[in-house]
Amino acid sequence: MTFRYALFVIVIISASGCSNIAVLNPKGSEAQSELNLLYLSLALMSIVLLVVFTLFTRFLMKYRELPGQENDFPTQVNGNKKLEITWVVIPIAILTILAVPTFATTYQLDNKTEIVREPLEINVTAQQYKWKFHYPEHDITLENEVKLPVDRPVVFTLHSKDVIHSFWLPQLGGKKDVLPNQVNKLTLTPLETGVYDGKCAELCGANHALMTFDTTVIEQEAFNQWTRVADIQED
Amino acid sequence: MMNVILDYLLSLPSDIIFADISFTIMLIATVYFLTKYAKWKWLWSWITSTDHKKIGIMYLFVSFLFFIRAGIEALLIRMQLAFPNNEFWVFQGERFNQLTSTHGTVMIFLVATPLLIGLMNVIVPLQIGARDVAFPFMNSLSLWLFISGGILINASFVAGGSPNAGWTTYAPLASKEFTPGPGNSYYPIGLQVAGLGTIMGGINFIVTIIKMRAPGMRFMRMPLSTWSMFITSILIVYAFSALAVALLLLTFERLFGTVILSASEGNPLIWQHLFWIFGHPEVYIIALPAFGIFSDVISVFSKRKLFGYPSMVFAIILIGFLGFMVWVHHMFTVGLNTNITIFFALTTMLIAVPTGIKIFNWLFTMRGGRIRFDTPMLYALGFIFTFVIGGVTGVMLGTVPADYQYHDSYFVVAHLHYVIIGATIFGVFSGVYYWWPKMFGKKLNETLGKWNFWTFGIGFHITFFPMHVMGLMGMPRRVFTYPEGDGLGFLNFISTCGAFMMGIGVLFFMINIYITTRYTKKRVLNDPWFSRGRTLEWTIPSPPPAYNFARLPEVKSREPLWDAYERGNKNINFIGEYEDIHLPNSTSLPFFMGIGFLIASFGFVFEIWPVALSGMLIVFLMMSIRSFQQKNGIHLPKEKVRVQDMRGED
Ligand code: HEM
Ligand SMILES: [Cu+2]
Ligand SMILES: [Cu+2]
Repeated sequence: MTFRYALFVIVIISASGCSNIAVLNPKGSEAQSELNLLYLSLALMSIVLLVVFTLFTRFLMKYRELPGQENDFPTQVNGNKKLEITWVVIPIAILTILAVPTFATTYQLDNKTEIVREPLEINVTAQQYKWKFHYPEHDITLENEVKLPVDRPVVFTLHSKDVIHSFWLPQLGGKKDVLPNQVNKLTLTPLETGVYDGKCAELCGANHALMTFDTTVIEQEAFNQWTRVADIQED
Repeated sequence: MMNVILDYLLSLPSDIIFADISFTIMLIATVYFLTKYAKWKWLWSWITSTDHKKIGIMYLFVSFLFFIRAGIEALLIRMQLAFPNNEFWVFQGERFNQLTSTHGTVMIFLVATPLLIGLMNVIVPLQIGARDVAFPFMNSLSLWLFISGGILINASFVAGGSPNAGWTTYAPLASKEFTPGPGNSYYPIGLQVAGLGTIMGGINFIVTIIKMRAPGMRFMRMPLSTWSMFITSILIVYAFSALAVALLLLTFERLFGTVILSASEGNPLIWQHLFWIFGHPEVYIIALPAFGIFSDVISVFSKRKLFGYPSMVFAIILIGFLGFMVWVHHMFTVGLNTNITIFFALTTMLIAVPTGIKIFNWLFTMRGGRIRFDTPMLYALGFIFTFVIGGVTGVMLGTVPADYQYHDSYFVVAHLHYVIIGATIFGVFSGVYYWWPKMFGKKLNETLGKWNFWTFGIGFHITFFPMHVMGLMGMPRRVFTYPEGDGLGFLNFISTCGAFMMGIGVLFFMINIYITTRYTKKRVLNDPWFSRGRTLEWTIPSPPPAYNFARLPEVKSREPLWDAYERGNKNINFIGEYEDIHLPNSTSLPFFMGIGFLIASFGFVFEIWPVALSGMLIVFLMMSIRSFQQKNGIHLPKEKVRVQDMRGED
C-alpha cells in the first residue's frame, strides 16, 4: 500500500515536470491561476492522503489477527469524543484554506471580461463539427484556426448554431460551454507565442472527437501585420 | 420471403450480426437446459415469487448479466482507444457514442442501482427481524419493471440503434432534430419504466424499516447497512421523482414535438438542472448502501464494535441531505452567475466533512481489533484505499477554476470510476462474499476470492489511474480518437491492459460461483463467520426459511448476537410462543405487467400507437385483476414452524 502511495506521489511530481501535460504547462495567465489552485488543492489533499494511508497501514500491520487469537474477544469501545471532534475540525480548517483562494479566483476569472482593457474581441460560432472565428474589428473570418497576439487579453464571445459544445484551450485556460440559447464570454490572455491545441469538450454528435482547432499565438507586431493583409485579402 | 429476411440480415453491420447470433445461441441453450433438466416449473416459481430473498437474488442475477454486457462495452471502448488514430472494428463516430452512452447508462441505472437494491432486498428484513417487506406484491412489481426497462435499453442496439448522447443525454443533442432515430427515445422511455420500479422499491423499504422492526430494534440499534439503505430509500423517492419529470419532458419533446428543452423557444438548461438534481443524489444512492455494508463488514472482520456509531448515522443523514444541494457542480462551465457557482462550490466542499468522519471512524474501528483478511474484508480495505483517492479528486473538482480545466475531460472519467467502482462495485463484491452463505448456505471459495480481489483491484488502478493524467493532457471524455505524439498513446495503452485485467478478475468471480455451487459440499450453519457475527441475520439458518424468523428475536442492544457470544451463549434468545405464520401468495401479475410495459414501450419508441395502447391495456388489465383478487396469503401452521425450527437448531 505504501508502495502504491509512493508511486502516486512520484507520478504526480514527475508529471509536473512533463512538458506534454497541457494543463501543467500553461501559456496563459488564466491557465496559470487555474494551475496554482490545482497545486494548492493537490498539496492540501496530499496531507489528507498521507494521514489516512499512514493510519491505514499502521493499523493493518499492528492489529492483524495472529495465530492463537482466533477465539478472543477483543475489548469493545464505543468511540472517542475528542478524536471524533478532531476529524471534524481539521478537515474544515483544510477546506477553508482551500475555499478562500478558490472563491477569489472564481470571481476574478468570471468577471474578467468587464475589467480587461482594450481586449481583442473574437466572435466564436460553433457548429457540428467546426469552429468559426470572426474578428469584428478587422472583419476577418477563420475556420478551425485562430490567431492571437501575445500579451493582449482576448474576449471570446461564444455562441452555437445547433447543439451544446464546449470551448477548450487547455494551455491558455479552462473551458466554457457554447450554448445555442445563450451567449457566453471567456477571457484568455496568452503569455507566450506558439501553437496550441483547441478542442470541443462537450459531446456534440458523431464527430465530436474531430472538432478541434489550432491556436497560433504570435507577436503583436506580426499580428497587426497579419490583420492588415488578411483584411485586404478578404475584400 | 426467406430471401428478404436473409438480405436484410446480411446488410446489418458485423457487430450487430455477431450480437444477434450470440443472443440466439444463448436463448437456445437456455431453453435446452431448462427443458433437459425439467426446470421450467422451478423457473416459474422464482418468477412468481414474492419472497424478498428470492426477489433480491433475482435482482442480483439480472444486474450481474447487465454488468457483463456493459463490461464488454467497456472493453470495446478501451480497444478502440488503445492506440492513437485507431480504427477498431466498427466503433468510430456514431457507433462509439452509442458504446459510451449505453455503457454509462447501463452501469448506473441497471447495474449499480439494482445490485444494491438486490442486496437491500436480501438483507434489510433479516437485519431488522422482519418476515418480509411491507408490500411483497409491489416488491415483485419493482423487479419486473426494472427487468422490463433493462431489456428495453439493452435491446436498443439490435433494434434500431442505442442512445448516443451520453448517459447524461443532454438536450438539444438528444432531441429529434439532431438525433432522429429511435435511439434516444429508448433512453427516456426505458428509464421511465425502470425508474418507476425503483421509486416503488424506495417507498417499500421506507415503510418496511419504519413499521416492521422487531421489538427492541430501536432506530439507534439498527445495523449500519439497514441505516444506510433507509436513507438511500428516502433519497430514491425524491431523486427519481425529479428524474421522472425530466424523462417525461424529453419523451414529450421527442414524441409530440414540445419545445420546452429546445434552444429556440425553450431552454436546454432545464434538462441539465433536472437531470443533475437527480444525478448527484444518485451518486449517493449508490454509495451510501455500500458505506453501510463496509461498516458491517469492517466491524465483523476486525471483531470490534463500529467506532462512533452515532456519528456514522449522523454522517449518512448529512450526506444524504447535502447530496441534494450540490448538483450545480456538474454545471460550473455552463456560464451561470458567479454567486450561484460559489454557493454550490461551498456545499460541495462541505460534503467532504461527513465523508471524512466516516473514513476515520472505519480506520479507528480496526484499531485494537483482530483484523482478518477474508475476501469481504479485502474488498472493504480496497475500498478505503480507492475511495480516499476518489474523494480527494472530488474536492479538487470542487475547486471551481481548476474544474474549468478538469470538467468533461478524462480526469472526470478517472474520478467517477474511482468513486463508483471503489464504493459501489467493491461494496457489492464485499456484500456478496459476506452474505453469500446466508443466501445459499455455502461459503464462496476463499482462494478464488482472493484471486478475484487482487486481479480486479490492481487492474482497476492500472486502468483508471493514468486517466487522471490523460485528462490533464487535454483529452476530452467521449472521444473515439486522439492524435499521435502527445504521449497519450502510451497511457491509453496501459489503461486498456488494466481493463483486461479487470475482466479476468470478473472471470475469477464467475468461476468461483460455479465451483462453489457445483463442488462445495459443506453447508454452513447460522453464522459462518468464525462465530463472531453481530447482527440478526446470523441468528437464523442459512438459507433462512421463507418466514425468516420462526419466533421473534430478542433485541436489547445494537449487537445482540455478539453480546450473546460474549456471554458464552450460542445464539440470542427468541421470545414468545410459536404461532401460525402468514405468508404472501406468489403471483404472476407483476411479471405480466412487466411484459405489458415492455410491449407498450416498444410501441412508444417507434411511435406505433396500437402497440403502445395494447401494452398499456395489458397493464391496466393486470391492475384490475389485482384489485378484485381475494388472495389473502397462506398460513403456515405453528406445529410445522416448530418442527422446522427445532431441526434447524442442531
Ligand atoms: C470494467 C471496468 C470499466 C472500464 C474499463 C470502464 C471504462 C470506461 C471508459 C473508458 C469510459 C469513458 C468513455 C468515454 O468518455 O469515451 C467510461 C465511462 C463511464 N463509465 Fe465506465 N468503465 C468500467 C466500469 C464502470 C462501472 C462499474 C461503472 C458504474 C457502475 C461505470 C460507469 C461509467 C459512466 C457513468 C461513464 C460515463 C459515460 C458517459 O460519458 O456518458 N463504468 N467507462
Ligand atoms: Cu463536441
Ligand atoms: Cu455530483
